[in-house]
Amino acid sequence: MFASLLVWAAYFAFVYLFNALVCARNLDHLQLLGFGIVPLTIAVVTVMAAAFVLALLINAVRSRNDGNEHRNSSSSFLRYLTVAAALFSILAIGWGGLPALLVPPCG
Amino acid sequence: MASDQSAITTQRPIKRSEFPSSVPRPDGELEELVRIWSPPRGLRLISAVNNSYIGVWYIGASMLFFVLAGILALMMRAQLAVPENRLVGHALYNQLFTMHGTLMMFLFAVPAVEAMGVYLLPNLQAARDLPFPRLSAYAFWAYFVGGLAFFCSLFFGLAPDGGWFMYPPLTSYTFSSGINADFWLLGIGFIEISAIAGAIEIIVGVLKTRAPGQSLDKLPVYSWAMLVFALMIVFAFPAIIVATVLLELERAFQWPFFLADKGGDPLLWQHLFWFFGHPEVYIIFLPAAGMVSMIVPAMAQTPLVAYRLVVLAIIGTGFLSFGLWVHHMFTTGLPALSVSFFSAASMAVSIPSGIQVFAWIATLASGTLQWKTPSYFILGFLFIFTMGGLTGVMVAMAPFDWQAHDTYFVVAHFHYVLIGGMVFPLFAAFYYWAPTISSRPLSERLGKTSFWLMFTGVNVTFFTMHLTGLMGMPRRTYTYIADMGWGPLNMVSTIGAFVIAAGVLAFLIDLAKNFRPFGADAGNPWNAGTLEWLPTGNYQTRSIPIVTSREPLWDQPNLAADVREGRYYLPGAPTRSRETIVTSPIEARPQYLLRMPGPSWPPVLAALFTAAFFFGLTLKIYLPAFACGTLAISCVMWWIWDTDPGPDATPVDIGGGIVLPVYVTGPVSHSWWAMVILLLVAATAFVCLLFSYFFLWTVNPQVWPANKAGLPHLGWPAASAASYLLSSGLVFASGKLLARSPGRGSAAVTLTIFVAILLVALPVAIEVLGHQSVRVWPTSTSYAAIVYTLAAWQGLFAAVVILMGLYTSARSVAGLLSAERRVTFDNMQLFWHYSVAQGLVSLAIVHLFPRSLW
Repeated sequence: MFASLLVWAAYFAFVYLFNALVCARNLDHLQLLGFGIVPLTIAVVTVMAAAFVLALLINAVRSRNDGNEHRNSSSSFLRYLTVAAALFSILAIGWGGLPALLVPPCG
Repeated sequence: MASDQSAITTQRPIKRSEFPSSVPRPDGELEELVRIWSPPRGLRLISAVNNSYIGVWYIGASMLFFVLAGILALMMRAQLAVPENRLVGHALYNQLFTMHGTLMMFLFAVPAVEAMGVYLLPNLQAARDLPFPRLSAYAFWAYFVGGLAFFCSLFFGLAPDGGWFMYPPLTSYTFSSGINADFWLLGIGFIEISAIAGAIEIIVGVLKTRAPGQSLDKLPVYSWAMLVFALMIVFAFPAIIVATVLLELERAFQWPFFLADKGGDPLLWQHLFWFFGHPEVYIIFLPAAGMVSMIVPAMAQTPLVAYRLVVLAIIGTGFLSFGLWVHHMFTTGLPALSVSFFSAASMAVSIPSGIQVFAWIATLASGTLQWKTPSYFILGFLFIFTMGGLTGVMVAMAPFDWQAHDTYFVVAHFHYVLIGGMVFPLFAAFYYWAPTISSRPLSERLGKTSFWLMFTGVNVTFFTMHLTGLMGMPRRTYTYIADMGWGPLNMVSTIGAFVIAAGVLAFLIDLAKNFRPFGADAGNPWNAGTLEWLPTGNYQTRSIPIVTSREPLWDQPNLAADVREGRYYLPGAPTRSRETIVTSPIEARPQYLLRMPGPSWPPVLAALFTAAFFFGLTLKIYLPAFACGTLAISCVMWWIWDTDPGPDATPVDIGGGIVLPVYVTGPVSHSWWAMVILLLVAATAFVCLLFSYFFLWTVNPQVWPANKAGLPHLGWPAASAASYLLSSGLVFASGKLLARSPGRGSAAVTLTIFVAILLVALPVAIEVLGHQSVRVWPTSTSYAAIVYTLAAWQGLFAAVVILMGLYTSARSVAGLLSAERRVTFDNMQLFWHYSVAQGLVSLAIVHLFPRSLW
């Protein structure tokens, strides 16, 4: 039900700790494929986390049409929460990753 | 188990022919129910444990600390009213602002919302009580006695004076050599224990003790809010526990966690403190928001708009609030991008808060508002909290925060948030719910007087502080010179503070005149739709209704009368003891009947000795302290001795053809749930310790072992790991042996546990000896301090495991342990395996991580 919010939590912990470690060890000058290691890594992780949550969302939406006619009010309620939490998580992940494109890692 | 539960999942009102219990009920049934739930009389009333009494006492105690902290605030405001004032010296002023913040946050705000939960949740869910009444009693008494003793430190000049967040190095042994800081560090200890005990009670209570049919989609928003609140305590409070342990170790034994010259870093404290401290704001706000979501529909006489989105908003806020802590640290020189992540999360959390605010406004707009005192406080809350939210978005932007940090602008912001977001909803709740416990409702005239005084006072006091802050006045200074031009604004703030006090006084007069608890209730004056407005006694409702909607009193005609006549489940006390129905967590289907304790002294005594233990440590009178600690543990053992009664009673018919067992084991049991939640607390604390280890390594890697000369030989941790695994294996084997011991205990089980006890204790000694073999001493560097702390932490768990093992063995010897009667063993087994897993992870990190760097 709240897997998407846990993905956000894991994502947030990763990007914060990764950037903190890079800055503590003065590694922010490193480049990969012409991009700085911090913005590139965070962009990739952001896309991966958002894609994972999107898959959770699609799975929850599809389960609505799985032919089970005995669904009760609590299961449809939980499915609603799953979908809405996934949408909110995608927003939080995208919004959280945005600064990596705009702000120097260790400035 | 349950033979006919089809009626429980219905979405329509129950027909007369479908009532689970027939009427008229047998003679004497109600009288027996009343007798069983009657409170003790005279001095023995102190031993009462059920939620009506504990809840009201708990609320009363939290209000006492609110008033005491308010008096401290008035003393500060009197001091600041004019420039260069000499009313209060700087030393006392430091104690005043520290105690004001500490009391308001730890002794008022969190206990008050927890207390409201203890009182309200069984009412809202038509349970006879929460599942662990004695735990509630213990939590209350530990908090009340300890809190009073903590407050009294002010009268001896011993109160903490380093600010409610106690930043080192100011609060370490160099700059705070007295015991003032120890009062905070150890005094807060019992409050943390109390809060966590309450949280476990609330989580299990919300998930497992609901009215049949009250599935998650019909759960009151308040219950959702309390569930998220309690889970947040589970994950936030361990951080402050670890922080206080580290700082106390540094102060008492000079283990350098926060001293830069030995590889420590004061920012470690700030990370741990605010990882707790920021969720703390939402820990306070979410229950208040839950109360608002209950009061608004009743006062507007219409269901809450967007129930599902409001639930999502509560859950979303709970998660996001753990991604905000660094916004208290924007000026500490963290990397710009790190600051930006938290700035973004701080803005994102305004989305779920906004959802709730708009849902309340839409509900108010779609109904017809009853212009009564609760409505006034709700509208005041919406105004003040929204103002606080707006300045919150301002300080969430790092460049603005750099300017406003540590000025009165921030003081104004968080008082708007906390008073608006928690105090006003709490007062609305007092006026709204008073008729459920008092034979008289509170006065409308005094209530409105109280509201207008408080509303005016809050805005006069704190709006002005925005301006004082923008003019540059710093927080936590006991006076200022007239030339700064802050005098007139401060005088206005001081006048406003006394106006707030007059509002609180009006409320207290109202209480004295009209609040008459524990007798008959005053009915349902607001025509509210939820279950707490059913007619109640000390046993809560006469019978437990089937819930078919979120506002059952609006949707199920004649529900109150049918419940009172005993037409629903459990209209009597079939086991002739206190009992409540335990239900499944999602669908709320009855699973078993939980027999509950009556009045009980051990929780009260255990709480007193717990408080005495912590204060003995603070005052450095170690022998009496450890005597009290031993007595506290003994009282807990005495208390829990009868909590595993076994399957000694036959299954019970609760009505409607549903026959429930009175004893269960495994994941269905409420006890299993409580143990799992406790392990989540333990795991979070352990993660915080690991965070501390890696944080210290990140900032000062030069004090970590650079070669094998600085680390014990791998044989040491290998021996420890083998010992751990063997102990877990033996406990697992003893579980198998127990399963083959029907009806009585087994000597083989006892013997196996004894051997396992030795094996689980051994690795702690091996670990300490291993570090000493390479001459690593805990006072030398931050590395040494943290590895010894990890060993000590594991030692603490080994001690608990040993106690649990001895206790379980004692039950086995006494014939209270068998294949069927094994809840005690199962709980011990869970804790044991967790402790072993924690020990193995600890060993792996301490011994393998440094080697991976070479």
